[in-house]
Amino acid sequence: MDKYTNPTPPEGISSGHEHPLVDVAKSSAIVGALLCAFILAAYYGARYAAPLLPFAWEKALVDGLPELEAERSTAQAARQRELEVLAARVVSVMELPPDMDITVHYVEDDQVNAFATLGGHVVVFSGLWKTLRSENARAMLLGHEIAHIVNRDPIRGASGTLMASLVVGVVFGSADIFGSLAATGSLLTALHFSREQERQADADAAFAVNRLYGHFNGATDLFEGMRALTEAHGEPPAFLSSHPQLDARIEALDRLARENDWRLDGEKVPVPQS
Amino acid sequence: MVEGLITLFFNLALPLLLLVVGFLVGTIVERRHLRRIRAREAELRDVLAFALRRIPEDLEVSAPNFVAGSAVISVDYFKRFAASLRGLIGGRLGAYESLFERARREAMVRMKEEARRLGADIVLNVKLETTRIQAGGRNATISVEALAYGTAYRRGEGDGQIH
Repeated sequence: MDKYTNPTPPEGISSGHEHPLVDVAKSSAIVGALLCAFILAAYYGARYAAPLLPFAWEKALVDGLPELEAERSTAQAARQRELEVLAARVVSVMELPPDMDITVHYVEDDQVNAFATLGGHVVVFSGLWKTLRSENARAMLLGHEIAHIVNRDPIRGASGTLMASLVVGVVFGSADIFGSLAATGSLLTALHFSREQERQADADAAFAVNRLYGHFNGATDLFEGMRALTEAHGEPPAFLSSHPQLDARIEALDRLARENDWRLDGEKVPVPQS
Repeated sequence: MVEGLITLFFNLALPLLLLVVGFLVGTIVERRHLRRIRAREAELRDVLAFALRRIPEDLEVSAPNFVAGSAVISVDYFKRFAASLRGLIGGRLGAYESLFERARREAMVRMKEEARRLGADIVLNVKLETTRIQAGGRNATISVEALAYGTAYRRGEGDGQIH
């Protein structure tokens, strides 16, 4: 027997310890979990940090984006004026930071909707404005939207989405900061706030309305009107798609009124007929 | 709508298709290659290979011959994907391990074939080297080259010259 031999080594010493598909499945799961964690961290981190940005920066960000202003007829200009006057009164009873200002926009559109967005802009569609038959309900609406801006909800929402999409972009190698920023434009009208943010905005608006009129009567007409519209059309108006939980919100406001002993028998201020 | 579908196709379906094709074809090619390597290894069992740098005292050998064998194996699309995932989290790079094993064994087999062609039946001072070939930038397909070389002798033909 030769003392020099090369015994055949067993297979699988250098490779093949795991099926390639199992290997890929495992690493995909880990990478996926890490990616989700990064996205969530970016999203919530941005939402947390966004209110620390000066309001002036937020305003500057929207300045370069498509103008919300539209051509207005004389009648519409009158409505815009009406809106501005009431908004100024609501602002006067809310505690706005000194560097913050609110710009309201009356838009002739049948949508039953209104929203607050970046840069202190509040957009009210005629479709909603006309259904509100008392000034108190309109003040409640404006108070709600202005409260979102005071609470920095739009910048929270936009920053969260922007940062999350940036992380995705960086990871998948398509990071386009300016593209993402431009996409914020389309985000302007589609910001959705959390239930807690809506609840807070409701409460802030309720305090403002009570302070403005000395009573709380008529404020919840905003939501009662929504309910009536939902029943009439069989589907909720656009405003409710971003403002869910109608019954719970009316109930919360009623409770707030009881807890603070707000008067519920005051005169509602009628709105000018058109 | 149509544009969206086309974009979706190119961004998602096409890479996925490449992955599936890469995996299926890659697996078949790899299995067949390993089968061929095993058969040739068995067939070349009588050509011995050692990393010994000196000829052992008790071994009578003929005059030396330099022998070398090299093989270049390319990574497939699936392996590259698997490796890029592994590259993010670390751990055994299984996808490339099999690649290097095939290249190394193929190079050894070719070296032994060369030795046999020269009438040798033992190769001493065997060295293995690998090189990564990556042509065409960052996302180019990676190939590996393994080079096996050594000094081939025929046993039992001592002429007293070597020691």
